[in-house]
Amino acid sequence: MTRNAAAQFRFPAGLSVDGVDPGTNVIVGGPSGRGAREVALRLAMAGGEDEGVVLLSADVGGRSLLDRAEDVTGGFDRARVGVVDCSGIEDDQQRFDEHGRTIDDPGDLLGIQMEFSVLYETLVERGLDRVRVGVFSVSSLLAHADLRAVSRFVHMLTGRVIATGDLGVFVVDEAMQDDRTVDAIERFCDGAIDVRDGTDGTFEARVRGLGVEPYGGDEAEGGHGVEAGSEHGAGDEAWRPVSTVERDQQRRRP
Amino acid sequence: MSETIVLYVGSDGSDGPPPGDHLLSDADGQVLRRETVAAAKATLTDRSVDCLVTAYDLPDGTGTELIGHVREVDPDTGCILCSDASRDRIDTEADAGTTHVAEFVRTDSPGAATRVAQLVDTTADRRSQTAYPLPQNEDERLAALERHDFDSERFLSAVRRLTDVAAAHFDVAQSSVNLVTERTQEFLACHGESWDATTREQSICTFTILEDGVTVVEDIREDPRFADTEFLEELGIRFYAGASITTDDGLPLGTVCVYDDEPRAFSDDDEAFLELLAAAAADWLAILGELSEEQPESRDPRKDTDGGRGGR
Repeated sequence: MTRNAAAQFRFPAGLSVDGVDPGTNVIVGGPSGRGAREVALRLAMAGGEDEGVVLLSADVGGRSLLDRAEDVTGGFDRARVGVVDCSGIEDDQQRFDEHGRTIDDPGDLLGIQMEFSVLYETLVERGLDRVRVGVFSVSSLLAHADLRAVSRFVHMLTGRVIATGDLGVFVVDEAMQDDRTVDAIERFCDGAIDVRDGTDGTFEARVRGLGVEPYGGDEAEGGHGVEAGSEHGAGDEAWRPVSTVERDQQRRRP
Repeated sequence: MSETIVLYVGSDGSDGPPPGDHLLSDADGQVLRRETVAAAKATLTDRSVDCLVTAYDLPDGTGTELIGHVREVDPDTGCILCSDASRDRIDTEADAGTTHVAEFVRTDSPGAATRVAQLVDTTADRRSQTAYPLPQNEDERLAALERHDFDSERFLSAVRRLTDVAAAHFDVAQSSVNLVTERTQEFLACHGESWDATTREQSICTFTILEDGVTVVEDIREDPRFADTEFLEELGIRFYAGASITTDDGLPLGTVCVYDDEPRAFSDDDEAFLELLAAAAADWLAILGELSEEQPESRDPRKDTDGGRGGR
């Protein structure tokens, strides 16, 4: 199989980056946990028809996450999306069969990785060129496993994304985490998207790393691993409203 | 850098990993083949490997049991579990209290052999299963470590004096000058008790070398990165301050640290003084480096200082 290795992964509108190279890992956090989840979901679902998506759902049940994905995208082809439901939510309504795998214990990181791997290969065997991987969220994993284990897990996933030329999206809810924990996790990624609440229920986002020219004259960080706590683009001018046009114009499928 | 070494546990034709011949894209790499948990453990006693690739069903145990062992004895090693068994049959929580983290490849998938080779490459080259972030210049940093002879008695005397000065200035019982090697933290000199090397994931210094300036942990029990660290608990460390020993070209090789058994504050002046001590250690390193260039037979410090586990 020939994979589309050269093309960038396209970012959704409203961010100051149009796309990133294959093998890039992005952490999405910031003061607004809800906003971070929405922006991350839009990023994970922003691929074209040749891209698969594997979501690790630890915050909410897998079906709820897919419903949210429908909300933010206005609908997508379910055949190219797989979900590892590691929320531990015992609700039969949340169980589903198509491209869905369940893990009863969100702290069972090896079990999660096993199901992730199986789903990933299923999508690749279906001819999808490459995959966007979304972890919703690292914070929920941390509620069920210690920082050392979760750090190793995130590091391993970022390594796999690099190995396979995919895109990794990792959500951290900063309200649930100590800054030092966020900094440690952030270092496994190439860049960060911070999200905060805007006016009228909207969100604002800024991008750090990922080739974004920083405000204030410093060079953007290069190489692997965003500098934790770096304040590139720290001024208000770095924040951009996250477009809700796409979401508003689209209608959720019945 | 050194060649990639893979420990391959299983037998060809089992449900395990693809034949060992295809595990490495690097022609210079080496695959050590073992068929049992016991044989693999014996190998890991003797040497470090970059990556463990193991089947689940082994004659005397399971692959997850072996991964648990690796996480205890050499936790930075990359681990890849290969099996066609369903998750229902694989005991992913083989050791209650230890959360296993490892890559997984289902061997009955069409692309299994390619995927394993791909993951071996990345896992070994990027050391992507460490539980801590690596400095962006880690390869250059390790290469710089190899260029110095840390056994030089003049150097060791100098850094011992630095620990004495640090302890006296900060009025603490314990201070040290350390190296952060590929997989361990080595204590080159200690004021107070002599401490044995520890793994990097148990080391605060592995985070200190990520930052410019001084890293201060006023109360270790309040820092989620270190609160549950066995090594620190055993030593009774509650307070830590460390400054990187950085080469002229910006590579952090080690640290100068002070410790206390009670939480305490650390002022800007304190940080400035600790940085001065680290700069003095760096000056000594520079002198060592110049001497080593004149003595090409200089030794690999990791082989000498870590008891055979930090390097290979």
